[in-house]
Amino acid sequence: MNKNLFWKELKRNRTRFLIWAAMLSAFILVTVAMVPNMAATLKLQAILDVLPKEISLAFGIDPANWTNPLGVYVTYHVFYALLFAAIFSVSLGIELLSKEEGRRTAEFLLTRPLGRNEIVGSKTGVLVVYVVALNAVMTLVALAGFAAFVPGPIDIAAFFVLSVYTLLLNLAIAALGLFVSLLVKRGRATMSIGVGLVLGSYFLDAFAKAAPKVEALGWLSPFRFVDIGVSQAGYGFQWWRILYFLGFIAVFLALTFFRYRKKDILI
Amino acid sequence: MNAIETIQLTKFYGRHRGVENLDLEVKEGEIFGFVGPNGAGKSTTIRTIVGLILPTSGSARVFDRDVVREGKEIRRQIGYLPSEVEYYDGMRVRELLEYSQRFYNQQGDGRLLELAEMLDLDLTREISDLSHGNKKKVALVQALLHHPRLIILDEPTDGLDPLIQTRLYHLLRQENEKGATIFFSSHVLSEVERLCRRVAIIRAGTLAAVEEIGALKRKRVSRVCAEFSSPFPPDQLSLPGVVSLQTDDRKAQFLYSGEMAPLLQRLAEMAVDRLTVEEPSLEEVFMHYYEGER
Repeated sequence: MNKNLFWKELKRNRTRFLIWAAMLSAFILVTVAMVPNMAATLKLQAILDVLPKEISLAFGIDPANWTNPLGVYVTYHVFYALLFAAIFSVSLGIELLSKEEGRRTAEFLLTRPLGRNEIVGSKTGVLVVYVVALNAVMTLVALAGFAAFVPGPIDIAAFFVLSVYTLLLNLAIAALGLFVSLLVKRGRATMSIGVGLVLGSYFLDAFAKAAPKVEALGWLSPFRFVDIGVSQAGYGFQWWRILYFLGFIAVFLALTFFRYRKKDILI
Repeated sequence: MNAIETIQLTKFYGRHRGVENLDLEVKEGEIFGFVGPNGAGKSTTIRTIVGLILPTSGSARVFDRDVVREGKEIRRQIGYLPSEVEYYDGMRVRELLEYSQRFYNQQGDGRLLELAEMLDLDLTREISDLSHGNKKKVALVQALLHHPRLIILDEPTDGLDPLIQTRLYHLLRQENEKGATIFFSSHVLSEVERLCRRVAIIRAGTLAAVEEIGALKRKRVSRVCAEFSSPFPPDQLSLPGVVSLQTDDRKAQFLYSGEMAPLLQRLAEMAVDRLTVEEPSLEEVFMHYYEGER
């Protein structure tokens, strides 16, 4: 890790982080404000009656979750904290290394007295800081929203578990983004590839849930390993889910470090 | 000690040749020219030395250290000016230069101010607002800021006005007098001629020659222009040593290398009206190398 590079990269990506944090905070706050009303009037049940069962399952709309306000919130959490935040994570992961070549600044950075591992290490540090920070902001905003708008108790322990799973998913997607950016030739649309990967993974999991014959395919997607059943009895950490995410992160980071050491920087 | 040494250095980009079996030695303290046409492999060689790309085979060493295994330590001693300069958006000149300085743990701005003044560079400007020439000045200051032992310049004068070019040459001579080795890559041979003591000529990814500048200029290559009193068949001038032959009705221009006697003998048979034999420019010497081996 090189401190000079780390702080400069942190500063360079600050605006992007602030925009995403503000946007997702606003979404979450509005959603949490609506939760008591929706739960009380059972509008969600009405939606469920209209939607085909497969579509409901695909989009994580699970009536088993609607026995409490947190369960209702999770229906939206899937979109904001999982899908949108994953797009932030993958896009930052992809850009941190590839933009140096894309904008031709690599010739400056890589001719400083830095090792390739130091460069990947510093950029990974920035990535972790912003992914953790975005998840912390989303969690704190949701908690503040619950306190302000939702009467009655919220299962904070269950929300904490969900937030940790969400963070792990976002870190895994960010690590995948770092690695994928090294496989794509300079000038190609790396961002489209990243967003495509996230949406592809998300919908692979979503549609596999709705199609029993290919249901097992959903396990190819990291989204499948996030347990969103906050209202189910015994909801908590499951070691194999945690291990999966830690392994996923470790493998893609190791591949990134290895690949970057051998990479020709083409300007 | 050699400042730069490449041993059978080869770089292929897939099936495309960058450089092949390049053996090059640059002594410490030299001002060394590296010339060749576009696509000859100059930038590939330089980018391998500074660690941007990895050799396909062979190796490169800087101050006796391997550029792949000890790249970080080597780059601490190198000041590198790329041929095309791009920097980060939204940064001012001073901010970028101070950012660069911190990678070398360098304190104080005395050197920065001195170089900026010498090259007439405004430190307060935003980099994205600078012209190509001014960006090049930023890159020059950044390359020289940390007192490098080896200065590698890839087409350094491109975009600089003549006054700044003169100051640059002065600056480089000063750095060389203080002990820095200078590796000067260019396709403009008059620049190399002005500064360098030895020059390597690269063509099609391989080394064509390494020569003292003086020796290169003294090579028996002459530019010959002959005017004739009557039309002549051009194949009459198809002698060994004649290259770049251009003819029209009564006039012939060409480069000639070799003994003068056979050429004069042939011209004497051809009713020459007017004959000029000149010392060729380095460009023409280089073209001779290039064309002669094509």
